[in-house]
Amino acid sequence: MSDGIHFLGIRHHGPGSAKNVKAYLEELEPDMILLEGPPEAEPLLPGVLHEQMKPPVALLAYQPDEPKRAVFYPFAGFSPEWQAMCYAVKRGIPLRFFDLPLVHHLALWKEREEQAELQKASEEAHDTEEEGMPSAPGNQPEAEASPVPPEPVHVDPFAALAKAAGYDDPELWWEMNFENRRNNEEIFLAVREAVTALREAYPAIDRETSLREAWMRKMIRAAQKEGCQRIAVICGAWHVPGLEKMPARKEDNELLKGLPKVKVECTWIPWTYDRLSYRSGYGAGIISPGWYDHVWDYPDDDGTRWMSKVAALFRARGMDISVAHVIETVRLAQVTAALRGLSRPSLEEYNDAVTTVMGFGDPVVLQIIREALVISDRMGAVPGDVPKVPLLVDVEKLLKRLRLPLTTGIKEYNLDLRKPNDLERSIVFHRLNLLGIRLARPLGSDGKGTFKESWSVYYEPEQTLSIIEKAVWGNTLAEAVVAYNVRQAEDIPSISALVDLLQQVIPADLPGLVEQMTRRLDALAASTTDVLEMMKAIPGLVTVVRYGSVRNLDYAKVNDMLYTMMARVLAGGVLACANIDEDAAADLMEKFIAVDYAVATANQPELISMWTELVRKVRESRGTHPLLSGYATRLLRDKNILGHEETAQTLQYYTSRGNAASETAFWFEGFLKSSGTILLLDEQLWELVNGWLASLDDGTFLELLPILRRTFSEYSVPERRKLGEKAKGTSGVKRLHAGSEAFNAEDARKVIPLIWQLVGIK
Amino acid sequence: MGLLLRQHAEQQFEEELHELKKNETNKVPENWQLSPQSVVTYLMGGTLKNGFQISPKYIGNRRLIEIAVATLVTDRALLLYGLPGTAKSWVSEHLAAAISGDSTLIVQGTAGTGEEAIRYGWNYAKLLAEGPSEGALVQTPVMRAMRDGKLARIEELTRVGSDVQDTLITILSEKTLPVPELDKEIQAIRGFNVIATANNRDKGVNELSSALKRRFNTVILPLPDTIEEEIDIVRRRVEGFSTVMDIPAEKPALEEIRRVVTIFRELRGGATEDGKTKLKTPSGTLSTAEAISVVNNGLAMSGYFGDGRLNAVDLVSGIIGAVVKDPVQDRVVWQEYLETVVKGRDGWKDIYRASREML
Repeated sequence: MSDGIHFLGIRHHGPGSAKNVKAYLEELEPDMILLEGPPEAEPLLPGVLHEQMKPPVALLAYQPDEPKRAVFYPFAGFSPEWQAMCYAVKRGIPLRFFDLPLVHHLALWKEREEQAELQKASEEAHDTEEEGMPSAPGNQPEAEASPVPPEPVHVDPFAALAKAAGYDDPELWWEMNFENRRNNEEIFLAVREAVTALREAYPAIDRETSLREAWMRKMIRAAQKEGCQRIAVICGAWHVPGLEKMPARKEDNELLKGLPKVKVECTWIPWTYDRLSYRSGYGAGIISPGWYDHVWDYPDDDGTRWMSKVAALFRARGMDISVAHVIETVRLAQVTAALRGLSRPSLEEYNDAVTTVMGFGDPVVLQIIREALVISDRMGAVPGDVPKVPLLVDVEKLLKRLRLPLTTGIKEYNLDLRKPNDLERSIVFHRLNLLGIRLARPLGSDGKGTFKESWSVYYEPEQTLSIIEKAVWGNTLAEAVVAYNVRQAEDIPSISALVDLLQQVIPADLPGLVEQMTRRLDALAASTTDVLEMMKAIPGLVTVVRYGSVRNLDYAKVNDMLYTMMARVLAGGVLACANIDEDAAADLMEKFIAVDYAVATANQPELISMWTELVRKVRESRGTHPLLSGYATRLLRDKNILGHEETAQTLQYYTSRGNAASETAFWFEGFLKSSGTILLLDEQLWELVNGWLASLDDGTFLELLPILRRTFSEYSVPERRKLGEKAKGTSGVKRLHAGSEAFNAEDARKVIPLIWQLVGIK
Repeated sequence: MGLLLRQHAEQQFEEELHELKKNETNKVPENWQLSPQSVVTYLMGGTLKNGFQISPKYIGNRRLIEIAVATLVTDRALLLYGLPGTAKSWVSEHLAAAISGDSTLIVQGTAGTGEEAIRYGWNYAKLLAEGPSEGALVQTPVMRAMRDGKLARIEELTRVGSDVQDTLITILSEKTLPVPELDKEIQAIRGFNVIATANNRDKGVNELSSALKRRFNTVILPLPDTIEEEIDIVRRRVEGFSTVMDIPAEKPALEEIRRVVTIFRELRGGATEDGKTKLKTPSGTLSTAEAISVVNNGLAMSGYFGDGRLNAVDLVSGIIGAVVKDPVQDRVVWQEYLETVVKGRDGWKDIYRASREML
């Protein structure tokens, strides 16, 4: 290698590459290391040796003014880059990230996105997201763009090489030839030659790659100029040939002139093995992080240690696995590898052997291994003192104080809101959700009004990004939630949507925000004429008031709002019920039912009287749709506001000849809405309906029959049958009140001792 | 040889085995005829260095065969497990033929298989005349395999009673067969191993004891993955059959095979291939092996009684025989399939008509 430059072509996340890089560096003892990565992250380098730093971690680079535009560079302990960084920091050897700076890279990305936008506008065509990816085709995407769109499927040039060597799986080919070797002399030379041949076969590279390589060359030149004698250049294998051939300096400078720029900030964030794996959609992902981890930790394992891990895992799941099983599995894997012409078994041979020996031929057992060993999900950790946005620091501090450690996998929390710590946790979860950070998701119906809440907590690295994204809203969680939601509330045009949001805000314990939202609600209600919209909001408001009282919070403001809202409904309600068609009436009736239920649960006399007032007005108004009129009559009767006589009279009125058949039908439907059982049990109501029915003459009865049938057909079958039986039993004859006659004092006395016993009075 | 109804694998593919041996470059385990790599090639097919073509014997996943051969290299016994008709015995025969050059050391497991069929028996006339002696001993295939360093095959291991099954434990773990009557033992020489087959449908009849299970590596042979794979299997086996059986019919039409395979797959899977119609499943297994025999049957019918061309009428009687195993329930299944699927399918009218006549 000429001029003291040593090219180390690697594959990202390969334990073999990592080992080779480490060995090579230790032998070479370079005076300068150039590593593929963003130069902006150089200040973060010393962090790699921090005692709290535990891979897998990722370098997160983002645009502070537009945090959505961000790039992750994940590293595991077995990533060659990580080993190079550790080596450099430990030995105090200068290490430079020599990839195209992200200030340009992200700007280019943005530029391209904007172009694609334009194109899309004209073409009405597709997926800008994918085109906007920073990873170029034909180039191993080492950085993961966020927020994780599906990686573009591209032709892997290594696949061609693998195919030429007779392998179907390029991954396997690379593993066999470069990762799994024990003897590594001249491996980088071999990689270089292979890739050079490939680059000749696939000469076309896109603008981005050529820019990146030009920059890398520039950095190499700079290092040379500084007089470095032994420069180690560590980059994706694909770039090696592009960096070896040095074109004229001017050419590169020309290429790099006038690149756009944006502001970029970097930080370390914890990463997970699951997210390193291929299945999470990460383009440079690997199939089995857990296996690589094992290979990195125990490079000389002949399978015994791996199999012992597998056996221990199976035993923990209650499967009987003996030492003899382990011995047989290792032997079978070795023989199979020999049969397949491999120098040592790979994960695949081990999996086959496990299936055959331990699983009795059934590959189902591999499922158990996959989660626990092959992926072996774990989360890295970063030191507390890496530069972070204040909001992130605040959230981390909160989670730490409330003992909510971030782990891999889903963790469930059952919170008892009567305990102060649990209540605080719940508040933090609600606040995070209000910021759009889905770290914790409520489970099932959260059963408001009870003291229990269930949450499932699942950490994904993107959540860190979305916290950074929301950092502009405030420096603490509470501040950010208030600012963010006040802004959100301003954009909400409908009362009911605002009430929905309000309901979410209540459990987050932010009285200030509630007040601001109430004000906004008031303004909206004043300007709207839509009674329906307001009626829709009432049940929500009632819930807020009641829930607030459960949580020991005082939401008098909301209660006032509820009254104002009801007053407005009262004012416009009657008109809303008149001159409407059937669908609108049915819709309105649903609202009536919901509001009636809400008012009953709120149990505030004043509110009830306002509501009753409205119902009375609706009933009395002539223009009211008969469906609503019927329902209103029923409501008033149920509340004992309307007497028996009056009800009977209204019934007569609406069923008399003068009405159109459809009107009668609607009225009846509203009157007997979902009350089959009530009709059975409420003797008065039964008499009312039954008496009226029996009084009809044959002609009228025949005329009304279809309408009645329609009403009753809504009831359930057993209800209808019982109604039929009841009607038959009384056959229209007025039955005596189930009164004194049914009461037998003698019998009743016999029961009393038992009742005493039941209630605990001896 | 021409008079034999069916040749053993090592007879039928003598030339292939010979060529494989000639081209051997890998290390051959002791008492094996071929190297493990060549055994895999023999089963999966391939081209040798001198250009000689090896026909595939097993069509399916190569990994399974690799695992099976690797198992026999280690000293664990091999258990081939699967539904009836998934080529378990076929694979076992060919493995024995390729590895030991002898597929005849076979014990058929039945409910009545006794210990003497696996370990050794006595020639009672001699026993009475001479007393216990080596000459009065009746050697079982297993015993001979141990002596000669060959593979013994045990068919349908799970049909054999548990007490008899367990006599295999000493043979498999200690590789020895004690004969207390003569105060001696037969120690297996290298190359000895056992291939057993067992049937999914017999699960739970005579479950292997865990001690015995531990001495077997299990390879499950699956049903063919795709319809193309299954058609390929049926076609190859049927072509082989017509040469063996000397049937004067034309080569089987691919189209007819496809139809038989489709019917079997659909009824087995309980849905039509396009997944649109749900079907009842008959009580039989409807394996690939049965599809092969239906086509063979049809070929024989058309060869001897028809015009020498395979047509729907020749096939249908075979299909009905395979599908309708229970005269009441399966008949309903078949009739439903006829009316809902076959009737409406383009170009399947002949099958519909033929089976209407027959039912």
